[in-house]
Amino acid sequence: MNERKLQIALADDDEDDRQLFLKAMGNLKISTELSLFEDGQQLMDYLHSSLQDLPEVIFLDLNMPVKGGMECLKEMRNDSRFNDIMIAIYSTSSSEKDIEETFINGANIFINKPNDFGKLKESIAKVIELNWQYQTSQLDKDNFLLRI
Amino acid sequence: MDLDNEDASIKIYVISLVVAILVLTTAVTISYRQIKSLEESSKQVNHFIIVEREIHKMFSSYAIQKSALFDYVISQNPDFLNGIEQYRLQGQNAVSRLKSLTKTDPVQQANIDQMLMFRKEFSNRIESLLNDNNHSYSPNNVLMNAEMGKISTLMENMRLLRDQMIWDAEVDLKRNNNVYNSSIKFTPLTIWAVALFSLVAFILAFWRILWNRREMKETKAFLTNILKSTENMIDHYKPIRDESQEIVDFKIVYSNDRIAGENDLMPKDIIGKKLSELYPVTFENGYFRMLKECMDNDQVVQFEHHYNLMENVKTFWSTAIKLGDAVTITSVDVTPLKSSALKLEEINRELVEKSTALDQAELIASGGSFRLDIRTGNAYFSKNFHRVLGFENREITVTFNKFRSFVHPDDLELFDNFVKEIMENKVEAQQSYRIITKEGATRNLITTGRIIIENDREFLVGVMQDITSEMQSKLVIEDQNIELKRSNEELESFNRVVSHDLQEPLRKIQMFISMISEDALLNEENREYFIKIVRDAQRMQTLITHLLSYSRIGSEDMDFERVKLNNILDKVLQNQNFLIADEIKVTIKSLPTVRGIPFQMEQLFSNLLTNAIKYGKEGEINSIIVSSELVPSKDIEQEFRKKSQYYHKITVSDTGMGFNQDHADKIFEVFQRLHSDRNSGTGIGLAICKKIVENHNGIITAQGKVQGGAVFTIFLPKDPDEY
Repeated sequence: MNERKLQIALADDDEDDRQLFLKAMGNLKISTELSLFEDGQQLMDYLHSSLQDLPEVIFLDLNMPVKGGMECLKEMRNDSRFNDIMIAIYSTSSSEKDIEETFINGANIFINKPNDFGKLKESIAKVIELNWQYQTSQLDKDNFLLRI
Repeated sequence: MDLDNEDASIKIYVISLVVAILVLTTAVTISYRQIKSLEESSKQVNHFIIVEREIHKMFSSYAIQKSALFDYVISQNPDFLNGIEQYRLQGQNAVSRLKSLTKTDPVQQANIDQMLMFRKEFSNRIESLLNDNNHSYSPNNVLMNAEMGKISTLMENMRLLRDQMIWDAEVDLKRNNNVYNSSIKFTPLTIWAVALFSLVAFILAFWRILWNRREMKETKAFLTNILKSTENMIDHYKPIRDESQEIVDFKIVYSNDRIAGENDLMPKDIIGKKLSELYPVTFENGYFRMLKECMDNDQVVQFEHHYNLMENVKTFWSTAIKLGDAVTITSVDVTPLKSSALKLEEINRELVEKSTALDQAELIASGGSFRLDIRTGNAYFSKNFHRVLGFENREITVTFNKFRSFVHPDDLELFDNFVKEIMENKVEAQQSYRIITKEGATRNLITTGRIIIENDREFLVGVMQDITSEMQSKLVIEDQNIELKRSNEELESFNRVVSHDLQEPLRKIQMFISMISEDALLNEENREYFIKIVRDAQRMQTLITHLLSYSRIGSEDMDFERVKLNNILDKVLQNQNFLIADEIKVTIKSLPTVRGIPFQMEQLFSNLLTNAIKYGKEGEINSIIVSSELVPSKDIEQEFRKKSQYYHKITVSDTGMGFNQDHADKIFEVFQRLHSDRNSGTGIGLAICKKIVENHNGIITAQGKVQGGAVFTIFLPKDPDEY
């Protein structure tokens, strides 16, 4: 197993959600490093500035001020430099429309924000696991999407 | 053959006659006078001859006396003296006759007197000679010779006188005749002229008569021909009058052959008979009365009369004309005409009805029609067309240009192009445009027109409809649509807000609760409370989710896809795993493929199954069956807009608690719950099902029996492309 910590990013405008996420991540077995962002703009700025050290997984809330999740998603997927990043949409919205749209725009995973801490931990773990699978077995990112 | 100028001819004849009479009279008078002159003249000649004869007689008597005397003297024969007395008497008579004959002629009277003197002298000398006759005669008797010589001289004188008298008589004659000469000269001429004139007149008259005869013959032939060939019945009646000269009957003088067709009588059978004998009905049906009127008033009378002939009613139209003291009647059988006329009336009535019906139809449809003769520019616009323009009763003549003047100025270009399209490309075209009516109101019209060719002439024909109200409705609808869209958009954003802003705090509450409850340091009671909080929070969450999904159905613009219901059911069952228990037996039969929105179908069946499972009977096996069959739409008794001929009848049945059938409709209403709060239920589940099914153009019904299970029936239209 890699010693290198898994770089994960989360963009969510809600303070509580960020805290919860951080806590949940803390329970994971693998060592991760979590970067937190308040809105899409911050996230994009960070991405553009750390091209050498891009996160492997980005959790993206849809409803964010300044720049929303959908916009970020489109931007990231239009930029070939970010092709390798696994993007998980992390949203309260369960609208089919949103789900479809995110997948159309290149998201890999859609996570409905759970209302139970335990479930949250599970979801994150699942994503990480998937990512590891992807990293090791070269899953075809274009074809793979998952709803949790 | 000139039947009309009688009067003219008569005038000519009269004038000719008068002229001829005058001429003849004149000529005859002249001739008469001439003849009279001739008469006179001949009388004069006669007179002269007589006078001359008497003169001769007179003289000859003297001459004979003298010669007798001389003969005696010479011969001394007394025989010669025998006749002297006789001759002397003759002479006397002659003289007296002459005297009376020439009474009027003084010259002759003088002559006669002279002659009488001579005679006297003569007589004397004769006397003396006779007395001297005692001496015998000898040529040497000088005395006697002298006497005889004197007598001879006297004789000579008397002879001269005689000649004179004759001459005078001649003169007298001539003189008298001169008067008549001139007349006499012309007499033969005049007579010849008269004769010629008379001859000419006679010839002319004769020729004229011949000519008239010929004409008459022609006319007669013509009339006979008419009478024979006409379809009309022609009769000629003479009136029969009573003592007071009132007409009481008619006698049939003539009837043409046409009678024969009407009944079995031939003309010869009826000629001479009376009207009252043959056709007594004419005294009742007004025929006789009309004829009487015609005769009495000397007016041409025309009238209609009917007969019942062999079960048919025949109608005749008769004209009666007075002619002298008789009447001629011409009758035409107008029965076919009448029936034609009646038929025509009927057709006319029908036509009027149809025309009115058409006009009313146009009125109701707010439509009109038009027909334009391209070549002449004449146009026909239907009555309702005029009304639409604002003219009630075709007050104006609408021509193409006049109509064009009503078109709204902004739409004139459209209109002109439209007309051009039809005229040039000879296609049917339609155009809507505005017009401004006579009162100044703006109306929307839609006109469809095309070119029709009839008898090598081009007509622009078409119909127009006043769609102002439709346009207005359309505008209203458009406005309403915009309103609705806006309202919908508002609702959607409302939804989004609700979705996010309501759920967020709730989620967090639940999250934190769950974090807290992980802490094992809670005592039992607190843990219990937390569990309750979680449950209620969950309920709230579910309610919001259901409300959201309910409101989203139909407003989301989703395309229908082919949905294999069996796949959906499999998915649903997978998701429902946690609810499945031993008492629950779910059977899924073969289900069709329908057109729909997959996740809505999922939700539908998920809700239904959840329901079925939830309301199972305590302690009993709840058998849930989902099955389907195809039914024709006419067999579906429920009333709804059946767009498809066939429907899939999908039933979800269970053997659970069931419900009271009276509440069957209420089940599908939002927040309506038939059972108390035993099981968690938001009351929206079935409402969501109903909305989904209706979104798919179907309906859902429920049947239930208390404690006897329930059956939910869904009708979904069969995809026409699906076998």
